[in-house]
Amino acid sequence: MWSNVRLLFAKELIGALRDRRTMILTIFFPLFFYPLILAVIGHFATVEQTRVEEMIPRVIVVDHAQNMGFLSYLQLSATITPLFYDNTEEGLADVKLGVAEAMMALEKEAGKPESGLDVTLYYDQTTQAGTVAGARVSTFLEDYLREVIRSKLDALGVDYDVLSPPLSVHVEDIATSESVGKMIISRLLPYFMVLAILTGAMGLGAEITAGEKERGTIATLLVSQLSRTEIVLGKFLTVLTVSLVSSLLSAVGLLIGIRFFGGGLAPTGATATFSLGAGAFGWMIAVLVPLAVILAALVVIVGSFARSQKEASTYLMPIYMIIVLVGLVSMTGGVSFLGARFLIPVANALYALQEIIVGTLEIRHLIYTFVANAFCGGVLITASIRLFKREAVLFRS
Amino acid sequence: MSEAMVEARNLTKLFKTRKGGLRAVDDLSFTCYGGEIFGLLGPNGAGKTTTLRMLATILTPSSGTVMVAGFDTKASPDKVREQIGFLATETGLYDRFTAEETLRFFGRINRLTEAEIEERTERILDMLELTSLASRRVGTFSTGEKQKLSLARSIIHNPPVLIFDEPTFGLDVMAGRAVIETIQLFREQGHTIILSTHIMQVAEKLCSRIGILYRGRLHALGTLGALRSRFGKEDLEDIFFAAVEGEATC
Repeated sequence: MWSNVRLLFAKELIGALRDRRTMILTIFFPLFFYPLILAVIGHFATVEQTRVEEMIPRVIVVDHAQNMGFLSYLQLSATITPLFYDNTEEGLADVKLGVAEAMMALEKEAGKPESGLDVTLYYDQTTQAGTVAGARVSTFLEDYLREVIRSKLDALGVDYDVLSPPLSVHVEDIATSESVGKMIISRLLPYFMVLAILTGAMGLGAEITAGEKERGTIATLLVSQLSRTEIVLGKFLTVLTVSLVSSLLSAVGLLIGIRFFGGGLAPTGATATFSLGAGAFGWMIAVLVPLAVILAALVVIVGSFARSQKEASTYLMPIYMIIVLVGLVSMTGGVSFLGARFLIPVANALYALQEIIVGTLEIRHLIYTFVANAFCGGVLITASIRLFKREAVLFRS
Repeated sequence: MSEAMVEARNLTKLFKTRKGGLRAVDDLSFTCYGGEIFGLLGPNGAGKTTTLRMLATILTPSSGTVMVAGFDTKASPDKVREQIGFLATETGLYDRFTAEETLRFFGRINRLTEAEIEERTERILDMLELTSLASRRVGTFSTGEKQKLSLARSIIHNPPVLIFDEPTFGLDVMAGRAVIETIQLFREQGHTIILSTHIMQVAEKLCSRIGILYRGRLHALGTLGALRSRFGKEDLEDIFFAAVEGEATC
């Protein structure tokens, strides 16, 4: 049996290697496009970070309080550029137009001493410039408040430092540049590797299953000495191989990109060193193989059922969207994935890969992932063979 | 008379449809003898392709039996497949393979040795005047060249029975003629050929005996001469309409 499977596998693989689309999608795209896109993203992230750090936001000031102390303090500020307006509506309109990044409206605080100020801060938190301007104005107002208190206490002959709250907070990030690097890799690599398995499997899988029906070549295989089980296994192994190669090359492309251009992906103020050991890579492959079995078998099932490549692509799209969605959730790190949750096929692989990269792998999670995905893959391979033997499916019209 | 190479007995095929069931082939019986070209003549939807697919073990009959070279298609499909070469309506070739690679692949999956593949590939390419195209990828072939290579593929393992579904379908006059000549050549070499066609001239030119198939049922069977005398018509098209009279809607 296996010699026949090998024959078909070799034929399908040669066909895939001669297909320009497969080569572009499987080799060129991950190896060249990923580093390129990371270089572009990294460049723009660095430029944007520098721009934000150097930005002195323009802040419209609508002053109805005429507080000279405040205005003098404002004029001395090096962190914001005030633009004085008479009218709030006019100021707001100009903030929306981008003339300034924020606006503060000053009113005398009702029922308070003369120096009391009621400040309303306006900014658009959906823009980065607006958020930065809002934060700068808040800091400016806190500094102003501290100065007012200090000068009032001085007038009363009291030392501000004696009365200031007995608490000083020092924040220190204990993350090393290596752990920051691993965090970045753990968010990106699993997602792209899993996605690459599916994209690698989808194009080729649809072509060698539904495409074979569409072109009429399937009949020539069915009347040969190949059994239907051998045909399915030959095609399945081809899809599996190409999808795994696609995934591994995606990892290589992404790691090259991150290694050379990933600095801009580190959080503001942090530095990142990127490295991934051979051991971790080995564990990752152990997780990826059963996952690739699931996805390759799914593609073969859909391809066998569909009447044409186009129909197969349409049916595969929801599967692709589910993987994208699950991948995005895992990438944001918003859902904690623990214990028995590692029995959930596909999603478990994404989280197991993250654990492997970060170095927090629990062997229990690895076993759950492997067993669940291998079982699921086995069921799907069996289903694909059974489906391929059904005339009503193979010759659906 | 030569020995029977293909025997269909009470062959029936039912397909499930949304509206219930479709009897694509209905109680069909015929025998095809060694060395003859047997033609199934009928319009689209007559059940020709379904019949040929059952002979080739691609489809399983709902009832009835088919014996090919002494083997039952249900009981011994593997043995039957060793005895047949099959050409579907489509060419059934892989565009990214050369002619030589195509024959090599089909030789291998039909369990020929490398030496046999080598020898037969050279001989068949030469016989069908395809040697100059041996190293060219199939995707660059004309329709006629593709069909000739498909025919070459179907005989790579030298099967005694050849089953061709509409072998001249979609071909221009030149390519069609080349295919007809190739099929005649196969008969001269001793192959038994069953083909389907809806083209009367192809049936007239090639077939020793003709079965007229319409709506899944065999309406007439015999040599062209026998059919002419039975229906009192010269032209095969007139014979066809006379045979299906009463059932034909046009």
